[in-house]
Amino acid sequence: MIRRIASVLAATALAAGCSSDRLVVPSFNDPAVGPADRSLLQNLASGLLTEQRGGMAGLVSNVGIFGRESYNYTGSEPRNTSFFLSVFPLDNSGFTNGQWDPRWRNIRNALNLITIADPAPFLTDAEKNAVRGYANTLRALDLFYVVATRDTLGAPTAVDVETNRAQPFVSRDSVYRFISATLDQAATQLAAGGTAFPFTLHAGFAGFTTPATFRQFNRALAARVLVYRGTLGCGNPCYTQALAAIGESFINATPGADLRRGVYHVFSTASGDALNGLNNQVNPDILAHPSYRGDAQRRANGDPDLRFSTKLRTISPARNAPGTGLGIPTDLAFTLYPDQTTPLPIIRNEELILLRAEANIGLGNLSAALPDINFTRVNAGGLEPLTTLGSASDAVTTLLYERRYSLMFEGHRWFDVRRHGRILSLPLDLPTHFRVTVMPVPQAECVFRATLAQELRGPGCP
Amino acid sequence: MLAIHPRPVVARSGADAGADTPSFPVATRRPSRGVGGTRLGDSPPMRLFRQCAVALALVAIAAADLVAQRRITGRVTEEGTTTPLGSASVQVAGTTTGTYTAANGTFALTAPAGQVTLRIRRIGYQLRTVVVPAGQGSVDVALKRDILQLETQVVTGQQGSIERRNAATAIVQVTAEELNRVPAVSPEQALQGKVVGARINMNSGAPGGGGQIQVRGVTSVLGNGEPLFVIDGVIMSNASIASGANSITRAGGAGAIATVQDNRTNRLADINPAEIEDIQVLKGAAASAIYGSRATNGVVIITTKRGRSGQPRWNVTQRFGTSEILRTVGQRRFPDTASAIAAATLAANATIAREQVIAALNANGGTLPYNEFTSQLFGRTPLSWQTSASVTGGNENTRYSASVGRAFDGGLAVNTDNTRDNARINIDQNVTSRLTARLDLGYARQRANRGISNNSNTPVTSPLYVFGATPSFMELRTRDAQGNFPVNRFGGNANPINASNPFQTLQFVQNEEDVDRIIGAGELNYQAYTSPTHQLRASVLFGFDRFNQENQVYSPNFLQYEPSDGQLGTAVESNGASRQSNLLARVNYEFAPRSLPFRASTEVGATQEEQGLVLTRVRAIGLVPGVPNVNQGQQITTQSRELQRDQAIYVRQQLLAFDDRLFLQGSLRGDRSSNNGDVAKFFLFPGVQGSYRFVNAIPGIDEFKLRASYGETGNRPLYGQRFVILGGNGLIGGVNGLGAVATLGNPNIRPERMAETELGFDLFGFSRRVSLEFTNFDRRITDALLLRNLPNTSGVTTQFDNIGVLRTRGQEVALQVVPAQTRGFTWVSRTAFQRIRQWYGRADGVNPFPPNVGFGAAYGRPRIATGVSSTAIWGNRPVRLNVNGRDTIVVRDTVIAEGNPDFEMFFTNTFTAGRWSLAVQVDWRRGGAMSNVTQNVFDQYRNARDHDAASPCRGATLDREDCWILSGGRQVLVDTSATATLGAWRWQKWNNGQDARVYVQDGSFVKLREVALAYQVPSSLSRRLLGERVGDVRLSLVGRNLLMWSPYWGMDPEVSNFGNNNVGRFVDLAPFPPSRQVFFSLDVGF
Repeated sequence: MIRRIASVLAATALAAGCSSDRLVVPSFNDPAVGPADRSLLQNLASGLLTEQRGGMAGLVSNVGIFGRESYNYTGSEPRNTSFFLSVFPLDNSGFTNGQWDPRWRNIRNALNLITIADPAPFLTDAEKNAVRGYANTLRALDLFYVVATRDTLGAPTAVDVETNRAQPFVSRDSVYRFISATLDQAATQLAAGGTAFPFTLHAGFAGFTTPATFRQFNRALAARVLVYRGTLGCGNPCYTQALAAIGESFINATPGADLRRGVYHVFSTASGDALNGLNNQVNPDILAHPSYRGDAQRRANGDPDLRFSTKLRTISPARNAPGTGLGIPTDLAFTLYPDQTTPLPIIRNEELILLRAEANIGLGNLSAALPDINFTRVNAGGLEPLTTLGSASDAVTTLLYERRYSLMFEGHRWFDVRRHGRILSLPLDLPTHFRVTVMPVPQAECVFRATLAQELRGPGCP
Repeated sequence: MLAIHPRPVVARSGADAGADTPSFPVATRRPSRGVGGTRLGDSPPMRLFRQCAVALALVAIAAADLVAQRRITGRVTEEGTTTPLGSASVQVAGTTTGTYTAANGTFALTAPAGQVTLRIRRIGYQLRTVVVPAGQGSVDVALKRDILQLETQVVTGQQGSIERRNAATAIVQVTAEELNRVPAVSPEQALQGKVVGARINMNSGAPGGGGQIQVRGVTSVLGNGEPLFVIDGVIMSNASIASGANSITRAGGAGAIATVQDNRTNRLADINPAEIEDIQVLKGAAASAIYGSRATNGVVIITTKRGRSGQPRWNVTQRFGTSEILRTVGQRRFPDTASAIAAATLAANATIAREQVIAALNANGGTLPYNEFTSQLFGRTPLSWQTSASVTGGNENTRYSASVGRAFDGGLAVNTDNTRDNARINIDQNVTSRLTARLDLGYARQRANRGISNNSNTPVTSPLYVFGATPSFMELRTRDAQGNFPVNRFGGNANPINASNPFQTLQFVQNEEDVDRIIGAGELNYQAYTSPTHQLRASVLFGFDRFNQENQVYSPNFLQYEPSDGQLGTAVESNGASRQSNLLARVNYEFAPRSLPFRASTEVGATQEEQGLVLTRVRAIGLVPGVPNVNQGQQITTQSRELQRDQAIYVRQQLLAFDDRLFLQGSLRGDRSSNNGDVAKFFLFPGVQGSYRFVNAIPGIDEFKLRASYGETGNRPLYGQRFVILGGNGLIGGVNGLGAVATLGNPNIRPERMAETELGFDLFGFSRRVSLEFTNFDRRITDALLLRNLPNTSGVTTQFDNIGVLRTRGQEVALQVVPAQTRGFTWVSRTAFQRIRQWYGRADGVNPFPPNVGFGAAYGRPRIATGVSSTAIWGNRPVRLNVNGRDTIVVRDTVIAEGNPDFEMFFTNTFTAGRWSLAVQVDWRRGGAMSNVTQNVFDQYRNARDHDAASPCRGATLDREDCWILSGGRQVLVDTSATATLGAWRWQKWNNGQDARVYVQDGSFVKLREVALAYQVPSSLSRRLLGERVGDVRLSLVGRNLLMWSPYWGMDPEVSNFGNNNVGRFVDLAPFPPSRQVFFSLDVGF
């Protein structure tokens, strides 16, 4: 009897599984954070590019709507029209507050990459510098998108990867200065980065895959930031530095130069990869603003600017916003991303040429700006060259026209008119429309900060 | 034994089937009388075990004591009728002698010489004792129905049970009879209105099911919110696996193959209600504490029918029925051509609108045709049928119960239906005199064609969504000579590839769900020691549940919307493989001292459980015509896998004392799980409960019982919440990118913990003709899993953490009255009432939004805020603020409605008159708001059926808050002209989400849930027609959801676009229409 009871109890204990080893179940679906090896480094390096790419279609489309370049007439989502154009102020609880979380996540990813690469025993010092330069360049670019969309609201600059604590907001100009400094630091690191990265870069970086050539890309971004800063109050010192940076970039304004040479986000139809969200098939509801037609200058033969006819097409019938009358009809659609996998530029030669022109205009050196302006007018637009830029104000008008058509739907115009104080040049299609000047800081960020000390609350959060 | 008299009617088979439940002859209320002393445990294996023990004892005693005994024969019938009662237990009081009645009600046993007392009992009837004087050799006994179910056994733990009259917590029992009165698509539908304390809703009317059971309100936000389902000791999966319909509807965007908006089926639907003997629902924490960290949401214990010794007893049921759309949303009838053009222009453009209106006019002789699309598409009255057959039988050593069945449900739309096949065999076997075994095996196969429904984005494919955009003059049904459907130009912004014709879509799209499932259990029971005062038993139970769900979605290349993504054709193949198992070992000790007025029972057990689920999905676009395989075209694949293991040990102590008046139970369970941060740590969950019965203390009141209990249960985290991971953020240049994910895992995560106090009383009066059960409960869920807010500027936004507090208070009342109980006529009336108030306790630093629920502030959605109802609907509305002394109006996201009903009531009345019986169940829900996004779509395109009704704002001024909107920070009147319309007012007032209140609407309803009229054919007639062996034959006419009264505009306020959801099941967006059903049924027993 006793033996029977004992055996039953023993069976019970056995069934309980005395060990908890069975309870250790791994993470099947995603890698758990662990030590680095070369392949992880490659994944993390590529991860910076996928994360950054993920926000680009949204950026171009959103600032396209704000800058009256585009519309998004998705039938099942009338808020794509109403929330962007008619509901003031912009809703900070979603929808019109993009370009925030993923950008910060990528800044975190860049810092993570550096943190993981720095102690890696399998990397040389040069390789570590190359990783730092790479990560800092991309991190600066993400922060640029943050401040460009938030403008006067400012932004934090640092990310506390260890504790996830909130960092204080600083002014727009401080953020831009921080970006410039980060890019400069990255340039130094790239210069000490040896001959190759310890990972490979995708085809969008063709020609910029070594630390030395990647540095040209870095300098191009630095030039863009410096020119922005020039228009935002820094003035001549920034323009001068911008010209220096452009000189170290991949600018090429010699006859026959490829205006499209530059660095791109790439897409593919492979499983797990992404398509270009600005392509007409991927997103058939993105349409172009009808003002492109009337504003296009005429070529000698009376045809419109080549950039109008090559980047846009007429659709029939015209389309209007879904819902009740919050948009205007348009019969223009973009063709500049003809395939689902057409690469999306990050920065390219055509922009560099116009940046040099802008810096020169900013410095009052209109005659130096004229050849660059004419380079895009003639080579990209097929227009007659200008003989003079007129007044400084006229020169800016001309520059903005060139940027509008040369960099059409690449995410520039809204920034351009705003930083030049010409936001009022954007047309209001309907009396109920308004002109957005900043994208709001997301509600979640502000709700969180509302519980923190005063110095951590704003100014981005009202 | 030959069946001379007809067997009880099949309608009672639920109660009948359990006739062996009161274990005999230990089923005495006096410990000294039984072999086992106590009878606290009464689950199937315990029953089995006891029967076996008794049978053996009988043989031994009979052999020894034959000399001094005499024979008593008799017959047991139902009081007031001549219906014989089979399987009733007849026992000689004070001895271990006893037997069961045969199907014709007769019994024969040997009893001691001299006067004896017989105790006769049967499930569903009240216990009766009869004195048989020394000289009397036969006795006829009539049993009264136990209408109040006082004597049924209710479970009190993993395996224990107790008579309902003693239970110290409110446990709901639903019998087979109640479950199967009216056919249901899935068990949860059959449970609607029968479980006081549970909110049960069907998410749509698509064939194959899809419903939610929520016991006592919201128990979790991020964790599991569904009850634990246990079938014959097997912990079964109730997973809801999305089909991949998102690949067509794009409800969650084009990137995902499948989303929660895919009108998911929860796998409880695989269980055949006809196999079920009874369902018990443990609601409170004290009752379910023995299930530890999976018990917070309540435990639903399903017991299937088991075999009884005797001749094979067959039962065949055939049902035929049909269904019909419960309600249609209608379509606008345009008052004139101009308004038709105006509406059509919104859904396309002016050119197309004019062209289509003219075409419609020309085709219809100059007047605008009117099409009511919803009834046209969902207007079928399909044939449904169910066939089932079962047999039970066996001898003393082997008993079996086997059943097969097929149920076919036709869908309201073409190409939609569901077929469910079930087979089950349950075997009980005595191995040795001390060892018994049980082996159960159930198989299920479901094939559902679910159609397309719910939310949709470009291209718009969900039928109701398309109907919202399509003006009623369009003729969508008629195919041309080549068989092509008309191209619908509306809803796609003038581009037909972004729109669709639902008649074409449902005709050709396949959305097929195919499930194969095996659930099985094996159990060994060993009686280690038995004496009149001590009993020691041990058992080991192994259960498994394995299913494979295959979903195939195929959208052929030629469909109108197919070019929309640049590729023709879409195919999805997805596979969900679920594998679960559980092992339970336990030892039970029962102590019944002769000299002391109590019985005690102690149970110690250990469990080990494992649940694995692997989901693999492939989608291909750009197909070779006619080939639904995913081989060709651009493919994307996803796979996810989860695995969780749990271990637990528990102890339960029960005490029944003072003539069974005092009942006390205490339990403690320790749980650990692979999902917790610390996998080695045991989390302890205690439970205590007690009740005392006052018998005949007050005149007219037979019994008054006070109950009190306190318990703690847990809800362990979900798989993966403990991992800090790098997420794949996509492929680029052929390399997988990795990076931080938005939500950080938490390595310190632990189970949510619920503490609940339940107080109540039960009152039985007027000779058991009235019973009143009242329960009040108060729950506090701490360590609730919520997302802790992190500054988004840290690169991560939230982290799982045990930081929430959820509070729930509620009352449940169940009143049963027997207004008439005369010879030949019985009327039983049951009324149940339930109300719940639930809110968030402290919730600081928490992300206020539960993930993946709702469409945002414009339409209403849940949020988390301290002190605010967890089921509150938040949304935009203009509010007046005083800013710097100035009256300012701004849009704010605030609480605008409550998704939880004010209360629910269920009324069931059963009338039995001779051979006729009628059961009527009415459900009433008051309150419970719905976010009517379906109406919003119809209004967007001015197609709502009531669009042209008068606006409430005709002639209104600014002092009417419902008549102004905010524009540029100023109040602007909506259209107040004498021609202003209702539809335009709603849309204007909503004004692109600035006032969400317009579409958040009252979801109150009264539903005629079940009606069942049954007639038992006289046995003389049935035998003449069907042969001598035939026992009872019953005909019935039954209906489900026959009528609904509701102010709600939509088809049914029970639907849910997001399917099963802890806090946000109030979104109505283009659901598959719910239906009403009528069945004719024939039951034959022989």
